[in-house]
Amino acid sequence: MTLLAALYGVASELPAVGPAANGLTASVLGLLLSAAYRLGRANIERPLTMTLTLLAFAAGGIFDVSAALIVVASGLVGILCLAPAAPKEGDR
Amino acid sequence: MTWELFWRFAVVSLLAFGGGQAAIPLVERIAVHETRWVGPEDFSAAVAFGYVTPGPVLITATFIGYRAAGPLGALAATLGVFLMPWFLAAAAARLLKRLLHHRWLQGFGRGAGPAVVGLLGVTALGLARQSFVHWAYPVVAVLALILAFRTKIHPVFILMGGTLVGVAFGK
Repeated sequence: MTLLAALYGVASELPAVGPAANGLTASVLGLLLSAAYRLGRANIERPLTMTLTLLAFAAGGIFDVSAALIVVASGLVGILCLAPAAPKEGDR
Repeated sequence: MTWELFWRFAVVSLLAFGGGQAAIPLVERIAVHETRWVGPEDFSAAVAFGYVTPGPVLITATFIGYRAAGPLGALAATLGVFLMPWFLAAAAARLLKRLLHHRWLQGFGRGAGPAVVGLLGVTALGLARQSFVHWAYPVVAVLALILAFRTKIHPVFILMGGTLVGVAFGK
């Protein structure tokens, strides 16, 4: 990967790379959307999780909030509202 | 900078709920927007190379580390992104097994997962803004999505196809 990064550094100076990079970016976008769909189907099951997704989108895309902060905050909401119920005394 | 590469990628590895692809939006937000280590085009190339090379897609960290700070940056980013998972898997496997079943960690994952999907949406929007300079590119993106979703074609061929379309249209 380090070698690829070094080669990319040299190649990215060439004028023909711009259009190729646009095509590459568009196909990366397709792959990421497919990953987003798979992750979404696994993670968005109820109104609260859909709300967390929309809030994360707004916080990251509009308000430029730190990504790590968004994930941690959403995770904390998960602990409070989405954690499995604690086993009862009799279940142990 | 090398220390920052290390600790930021260590944080990414700890927050990658849902696997390596789930960490991509975190990497993009941090590397492109928060620190400006790389530009959006470099990020696309990093992800593409992450898909092309064998192993986890999070190897994109190595690419970004190199572009940001040379070989030492590549080393710092690679150690950052892989050291903690390796440590947890190797040294604390038994403890990790118990932790993963802890209801708080399960709850954290259930909350973090949807946020990652939202952030993937932000990343996707950014890539669309950057690359949709010609009508052919939305078509490429939709075709890539369909091929990735409906077929078992290796991503490397999808990426090569998109690159060739770019070369052919020359915009």
